[in-house]
Amino acid sequence: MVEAFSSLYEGILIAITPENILYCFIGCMVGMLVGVLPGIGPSEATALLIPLSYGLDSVTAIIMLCGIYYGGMYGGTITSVLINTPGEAASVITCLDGYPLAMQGRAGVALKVAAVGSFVGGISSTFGLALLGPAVADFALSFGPSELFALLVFGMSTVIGLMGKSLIRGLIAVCIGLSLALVGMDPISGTIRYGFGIRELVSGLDVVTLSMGLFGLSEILVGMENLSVAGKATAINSSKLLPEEVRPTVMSIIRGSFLGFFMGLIPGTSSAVPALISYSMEKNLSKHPEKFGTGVPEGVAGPETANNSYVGGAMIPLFTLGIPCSPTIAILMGAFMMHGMTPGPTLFITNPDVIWGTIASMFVGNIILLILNLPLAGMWAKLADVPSKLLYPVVLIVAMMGAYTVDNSVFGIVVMLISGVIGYALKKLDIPLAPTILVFVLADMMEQNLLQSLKINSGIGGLFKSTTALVLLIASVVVITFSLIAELKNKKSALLTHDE
Amino acid sequence: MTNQNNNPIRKWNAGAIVGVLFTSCSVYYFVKSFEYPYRNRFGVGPGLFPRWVSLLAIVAGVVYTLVSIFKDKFTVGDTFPHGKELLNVLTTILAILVFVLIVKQTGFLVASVLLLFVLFIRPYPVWKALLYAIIVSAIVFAIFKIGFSVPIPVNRWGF
Repeated sequence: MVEAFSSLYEGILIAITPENILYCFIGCMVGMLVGVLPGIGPSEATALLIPLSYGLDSVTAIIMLCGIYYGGMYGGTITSVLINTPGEAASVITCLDGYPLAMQGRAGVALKVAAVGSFVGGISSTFGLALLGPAVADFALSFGPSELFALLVFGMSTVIGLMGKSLIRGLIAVCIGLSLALVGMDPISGTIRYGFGIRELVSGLDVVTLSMGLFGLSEILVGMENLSVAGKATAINSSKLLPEEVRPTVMSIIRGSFLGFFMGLIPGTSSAVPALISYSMEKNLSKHPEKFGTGVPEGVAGPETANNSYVGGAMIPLFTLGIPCSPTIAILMGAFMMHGMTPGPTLFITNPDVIWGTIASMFVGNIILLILNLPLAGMWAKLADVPSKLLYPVVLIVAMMGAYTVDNSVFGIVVMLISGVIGYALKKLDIPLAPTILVFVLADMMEQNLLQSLKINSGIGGLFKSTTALVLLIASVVVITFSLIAELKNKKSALLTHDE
Repeated sequence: MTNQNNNPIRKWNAGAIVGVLFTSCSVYYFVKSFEYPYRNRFGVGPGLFPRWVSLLAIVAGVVYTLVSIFKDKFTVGDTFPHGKELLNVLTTILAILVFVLIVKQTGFLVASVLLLFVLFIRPYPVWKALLYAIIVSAIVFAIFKIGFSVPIPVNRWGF
C-alpha cells in the first residue's frame, strides 16, 4: 500500500509537468469533442488520433490517448441531456432521465450530477487502479503459458458470451479477428503465413489501421448514408438539486463507483453495460421506481458514475495482464506497442514512469474535465449542431492521414478501406465489431502461450494439470453455457450489442 | 423506388450470402493451413493454430448460414441501403480509392481537395464545396505536416 502511494506520488510528479498537463488537456478536449459529436465514440477517436502521438514522448502520448478515452465518457452526457442524442453508447441510458430533466428546465441539474458523478467515478476507480494494479501484476507474474492461455480463452469466451445479440454472431466476429491475426509472421518459428506475396503483410496487419477501418471508417460510411443535421440544444436553466433528491443521488454515485470499477475488470463488457446495470439497480432500489424515465437525478448520476468508473477498472487487466477488456482499451494497447512497450505484468517493472504517470494523469484529467463540464456545458452542446455533411468528410480525411502515417505508405489507407468496408457490412448484419478487434489483439499471445504450453507439457494434458488453468477453462465453459441458455430464452439485453 | 423494390437482389437472403462467403474464405484458410507444418523441430509447428482456427471458422460459418436460412432471415434490401443512401456510400468508397491512386503523384493537398470536393458537392453548392474542401485540407495539412511533423505525401512543390 505504502509502495503504491509512493509510486503514485512519483507518477503525479510526471503528470503535472507543463507538457503532460497540456497533452492531458488536449486529450480531454478531443475526448469531450468526440463524445459530444454523435456517431464518433472514444474507440473511433482513439484509433484515429494515435498517429498524432508518434512524435510525442511515450508517457505523454499515452496520457493524451487516455484523456480521449475518459473525456469521451464525459462528453457523451451533454448531448444525451440537451438534445436527447447520445454521443456514445455508454450515454444511451442517460437520455432516459437526463432529457426529461432538461425538458422540465432542469438541464443544469442533470449536467451537474452527471459531471460530479463522472468525477467521483473517475477518481475512485483511479485510486482502485493504483491500489490493486501492482498486486494483480505480482499475481500475474506467477502465471505460466498454460494459465495465460486459459486466461485468454476465458477472456475470449466472455467476449463471445457478452457481446452481440447472438452467440453465433459473436463467434463469427471472433473468428474474423483470429483469422486476421494469422496474417504475417508466426510468433514462434517466424514462418510467414497468409502473406499472399505482399511485402507489407510480412509483419502482419497493424492494429491501429485495422481499428481505424473497423470502427472509424465503418462509422463514417454509416454516417454518409444519411447526411441529416443534428437537433438544437435545450437551454440550461436550474442547476440545484431539491433537498429530497440529495441523498438518493449521493447513494447512486457511491454504488455506481463500485459497480463500474468491478465491471471494468470483466473482459467483453463495454461501458454501456455498467451504465445499464446501474440504472436498473437504482430503479429497483428506489422508493419511487415509477418516476424513473420522467426525470430523476439518480437515474442520471448512477449510470454516469458507473461508466466513468469503468474506465479505471478496465485499465487493470491491460496494465497487469496485457489483456484489453474493451475495444478502446485494445486500441490503447496498440498505442503502447507502437511506443515500444508491451502491456503485461512486467510493465510495472520495465516502464513504471509510463504506468504511474498515466494513472496520476487520470486524476489531473478528471479535474480538467470537471472544470470543462460544469461551466461550459452549454458551449459543448452547441458543437452537436455541426452538420454531419461537414463533419464526416472532415473526420474521413483525418482518418486517412492517420492510416497513411502508420507505415508512411498508402497501403495503410488500403487496409483501412478494406477493413472499413468489412466493418460496415458487419454493422449492417448486426455482427459486433468489438470481439473482432479484441481477439485480433490477443491472438498472437494466445497462440504463443498455447504452443509453449503444448511443448512444455508434451501435449494438451498440461493445460488441465494447473488448477488455475483448469478453473479458468471451466469458467469459460460456464460463461458460454449461460450465454447460450440466455439466448435460447431471449433474455439478452439489446443494449449489450452496443460497441463502445 | 418501384424499380428498387423490384430488384431481385434485394430479396436475396443477406445472412445466407454472407455465411456462404465467410465459410468459403474459412475453407480457403483451412486448405492453405496445410502449407505450414503442423509439427516441426520445436515440437508444434506454425500450422497448428491456423488449422484449428479455420476449422472453428468453418463450423461458425456453416451454423451462421443455417441460422440465416431457417431462423433469423433478413434480406439484402432490409440490411443494406439503396438509392441515394447507397450512392453516398459508394461515392465515399470510390473517392478514397481515387485518393489512394493519385496521392503519390499529386501530393496530399491536391488529392485531399479533390476527395473532399467530391464528398461536399452533393450536399453543398459548387463554390461552397470547393471552399470547404480547400480550407479543411489546408487545416489538416497544417496540423499533420507543420504541427506534428508527420511525413505526409507531398508533390515536388512541397504540398
